[in-house]
Amino acid sequence: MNIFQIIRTDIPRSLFLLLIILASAYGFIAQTRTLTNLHAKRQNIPYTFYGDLFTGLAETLRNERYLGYFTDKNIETPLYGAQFTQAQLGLAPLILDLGSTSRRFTLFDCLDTKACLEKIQDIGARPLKITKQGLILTIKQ
Amino acid sequence: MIHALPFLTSILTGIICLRILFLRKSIAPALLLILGSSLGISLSGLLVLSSLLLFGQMTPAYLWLTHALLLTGGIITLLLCCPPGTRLPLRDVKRSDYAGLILTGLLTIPIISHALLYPQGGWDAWSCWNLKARFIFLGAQNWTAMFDPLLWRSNIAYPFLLPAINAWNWSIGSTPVWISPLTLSCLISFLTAGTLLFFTKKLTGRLHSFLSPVWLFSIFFIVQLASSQYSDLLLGLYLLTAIGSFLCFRQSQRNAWLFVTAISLGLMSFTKSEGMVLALISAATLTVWLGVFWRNLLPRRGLIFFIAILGICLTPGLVYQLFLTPESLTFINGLSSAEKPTSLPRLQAILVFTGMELISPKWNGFWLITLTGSLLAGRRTLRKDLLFIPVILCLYLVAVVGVYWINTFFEIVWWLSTTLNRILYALIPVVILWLFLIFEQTPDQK
Repeated sequence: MNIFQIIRTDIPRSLFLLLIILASAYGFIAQTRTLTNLHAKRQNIPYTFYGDLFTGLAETLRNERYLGYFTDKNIETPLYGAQFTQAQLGLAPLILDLGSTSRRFTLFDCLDTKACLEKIQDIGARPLKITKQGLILTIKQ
Repeated sequence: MIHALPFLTSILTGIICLRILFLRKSIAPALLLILGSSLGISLSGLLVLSSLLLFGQMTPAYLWLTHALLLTGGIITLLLCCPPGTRLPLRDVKRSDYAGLILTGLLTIPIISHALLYPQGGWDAWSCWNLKARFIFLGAQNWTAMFDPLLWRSNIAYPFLLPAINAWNWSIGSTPVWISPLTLSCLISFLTAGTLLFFTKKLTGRLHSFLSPVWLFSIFFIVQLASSQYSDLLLGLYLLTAIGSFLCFRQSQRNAWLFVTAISLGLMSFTKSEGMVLALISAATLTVWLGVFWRNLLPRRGLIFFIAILGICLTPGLVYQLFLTPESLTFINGLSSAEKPTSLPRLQAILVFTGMELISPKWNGFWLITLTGSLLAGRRTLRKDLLFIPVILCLYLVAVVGVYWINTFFEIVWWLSTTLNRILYALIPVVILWLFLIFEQTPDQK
């Protein structure tokens, strides 16, 4: 049975197929527009992945299983939650111990660098590496 | 290009294994390519799991050796058991197969385009799936650290077929490159489109089967999910494969299709915890259908054999879920908890949210068209030979609502807003297949 026979003999199916064709056409037009806009935006704001900031630490932390992760950011908010999650991915198979400063190595990821340095002094650690982005890797003395 | 080698090896292994399953007479070449590839990628994932069990870590040498053995064994079997010219059904390729594959490829272009905007995938790709893959690939004997309670945000209790496949795809190099999970995500979406198209075409014989994947990937939200690198993509693919194969058995009465159904359900059970629930519901429903409604298609011995194969395929996932999985730290039984008890308003919130989700513009009217389609089909919507599909989907949705209601660990609106759309996504390919089939004549009418 070809498509013309279906249209003549099965009107419900023809209506259904027509609906799908219309929905698909609308969907592709909207999709093309959205993708074009997204690509245009991406030209202005390049893709960044927070986890990439941590890859340089892998060699120093090669023999560790856990890494303390101290931050003054509220990781319940989507932005900082995403940053923490991406940091964990970038450092895996190392496990980030969020909020802990009792591990041998601790990473400080702070908005307020001064408060962070005070905290480092409080726990008796010393900075081992400081990245351009302000991340501080410390080791317990 | 070197990173394509594990993909190609998996695909080739899968195609040869599937060809051996249909040894006497091959299935259509396009279906062989698509289904073989689907099974092949997960076969490689299963070999990674066997490596973790046998050697306590992922061992690339073992993986390449087992793939080489499977390929060699498969090719020898084909050479010995199949007459020349029938080994790979290349002569049977029709123009419509080429057209279907080209269309499927074209539909994948927007997905690739979107995936390149977000090369690391969506949130759960970083927090769960690719994270587990890194533990398997880089962790050596310490890979079990991925079950550490400190990683409770990463769904530590989930099975890890997708991460195992990603780890295999990295095995050609020494670092986990982002291109492999991205490619896998796009490949799974390509295979989903192809499976939908070629199953619809095989089961209806209609030219308008070509509309089925077009409709699926015309929805931008689905394009976003298809490039997300989530395990839901695998779940959707294997559900479609299981149901489509079961219908092919009904059509051709070749028992090998039941094997494909059972294997797909087994693989589905190892994608996610939801996959296990759906696999069990599907297995039970399909067994009832074979034993009660399609009794004349399969002798009693065949039914017992099918149940045994199902048992074998589902056992690894069940053993993992029941005995090996770490305790989930994101579960509070709201029925027994005094601190966070479940309530009727929670159930109301779930039902209202689900209703709102189904009419959300992001689905481009998909669920409304589904409703309209089933109303237009009238009594055909409840035809007995296809009724098992809505039965499976409804039972699964009841189970999902039950879990949302009982587990009170998460604030319900947040939880629904981050997970329900993915659960619905995995069902869409099967819903489309069902909608295209209900308008056809029943096998008895033919």
